[in-house]
Amino acid sequence: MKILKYYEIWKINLLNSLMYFSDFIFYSVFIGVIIFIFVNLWRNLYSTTSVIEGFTLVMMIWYLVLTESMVVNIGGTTLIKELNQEVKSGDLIYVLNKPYNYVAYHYVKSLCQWMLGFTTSFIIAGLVALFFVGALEFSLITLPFILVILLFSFTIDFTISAILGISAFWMEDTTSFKYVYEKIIFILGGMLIPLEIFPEWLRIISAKLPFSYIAYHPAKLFVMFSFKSFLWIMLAQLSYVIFFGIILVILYKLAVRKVNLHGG
Amino acid sequence: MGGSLLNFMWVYFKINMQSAMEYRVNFLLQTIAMLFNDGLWIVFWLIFFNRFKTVSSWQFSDILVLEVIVAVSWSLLGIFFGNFMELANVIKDGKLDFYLTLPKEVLSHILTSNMRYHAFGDLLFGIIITIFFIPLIKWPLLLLFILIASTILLSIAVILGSITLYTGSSAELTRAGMFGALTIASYPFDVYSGMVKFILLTVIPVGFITGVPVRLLQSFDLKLFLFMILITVILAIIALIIFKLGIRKYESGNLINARV
Repeated sequence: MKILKYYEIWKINLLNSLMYFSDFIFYSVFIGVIIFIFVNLWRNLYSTTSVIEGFTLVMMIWYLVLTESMVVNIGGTTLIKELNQEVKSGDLIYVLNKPYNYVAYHYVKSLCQWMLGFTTSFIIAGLVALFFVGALEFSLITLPFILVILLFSFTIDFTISAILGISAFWMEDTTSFKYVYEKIIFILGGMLIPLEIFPEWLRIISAKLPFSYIAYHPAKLFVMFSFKSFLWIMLAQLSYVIFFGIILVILYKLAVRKVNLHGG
Repeated sequence: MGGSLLNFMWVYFKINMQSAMEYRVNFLLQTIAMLFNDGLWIVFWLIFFNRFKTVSSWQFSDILVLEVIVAVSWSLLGIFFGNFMELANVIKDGKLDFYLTLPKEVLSHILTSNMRYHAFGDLLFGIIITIFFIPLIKWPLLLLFILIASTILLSIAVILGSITLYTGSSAELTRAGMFGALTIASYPFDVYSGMVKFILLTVIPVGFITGVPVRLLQSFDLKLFLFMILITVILAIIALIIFKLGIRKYESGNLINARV
């Protein structure tokens, strides 16, 4: 019964998002442009060699298709701003008194937007990649495993973004966190380049941080699947989800205590 | 006319700065965050060039020039023409009537009446990189290229935003187009060749934001420089024409707004 109401929230948000589907298309075209830039950049770098750090040109571009589609649509880009706005404007109160959990509501809402955004971006970016570098060798059997990993990636980002967004209760404005968090995923998360390109010491550190479990690990699994990697990545992702999930719940409970109601 | 516009921009700048100073901590936080954000791009390119050394003829020092042009030109727009990304929303939300009823020139009034506070972080970043990493001899030309890049970006923003006057909405198109232009300008231009390079230097002239300036700072070419000026002027004129013609088609929705 409880699950059912969140399913309804998901459905309403899906219908709402579909009303603004052109927005998703514009973002996706933007990702298509980025992939086109990367194709040109990496073609240049692959002009003297066929393999760089274990990646062929095709693998590299498809790696970037997945990281870009993933990161551009995650909560870090919208959720931090949205929560910040709700807290600052007081709109939060309209959501708090509804018969559902505030955090779960945003999880379902963000999940819906991410699913739609990711799918559209992946299709458009994938078509650009397919046209310029060709298809990736990919077994359909691995698809369910990749989807599980992507769902966990989304969830790790959601918990971190929600923590940063909810901190608006104590900070004046949290939107500046958004830019910094985004860039950390871009670089240390391996969105722009695989961690193999990094100096050894930075690669080791970055590979263990939660940000790489949002972009690098899922994308590498996508282009070089192994069941053993899948298990390790999922285990690490699960640990991070639990860790950040606990912080989020504690922070949320503390934040709600700070809510003051004014008439009017 | 020009002097009057500069004076007008200065007055708005002072008003916007007073608003920013009302929330000093937030202003400072946003500036620092943007400075850090830009710094992370340098970290990215350091990692990249540590592994690959060169991309065509581009080296890490060229990327520093690129980053300065992108950050400072974008920040100048954010500080002096803070509504450059909001033109479509201003028109769509019926706020154009406010500007139309006032004696000041409409486009410049819309553009100058807002300020993006985090732009100061970009500006500070550009100044720091220029002082520490770019030779003094290149500064005059660099400043000129920054102004040209700002003009090109502003012209593209006006063209994309003005499409709302014809179609009803182009807010997302403006966002996608501007970030697309900025992203193309944020990578070494030498990776493009053939038809793509031709398009980026003519039809969609984003190659003049950073690509040509870096090339001119490597070795100056008068013909290329004059071509860049010509394209910039043409683009600015096209932007003005599209906006002015669009304004003639505009019909007010009679929405009453309180402008606070």
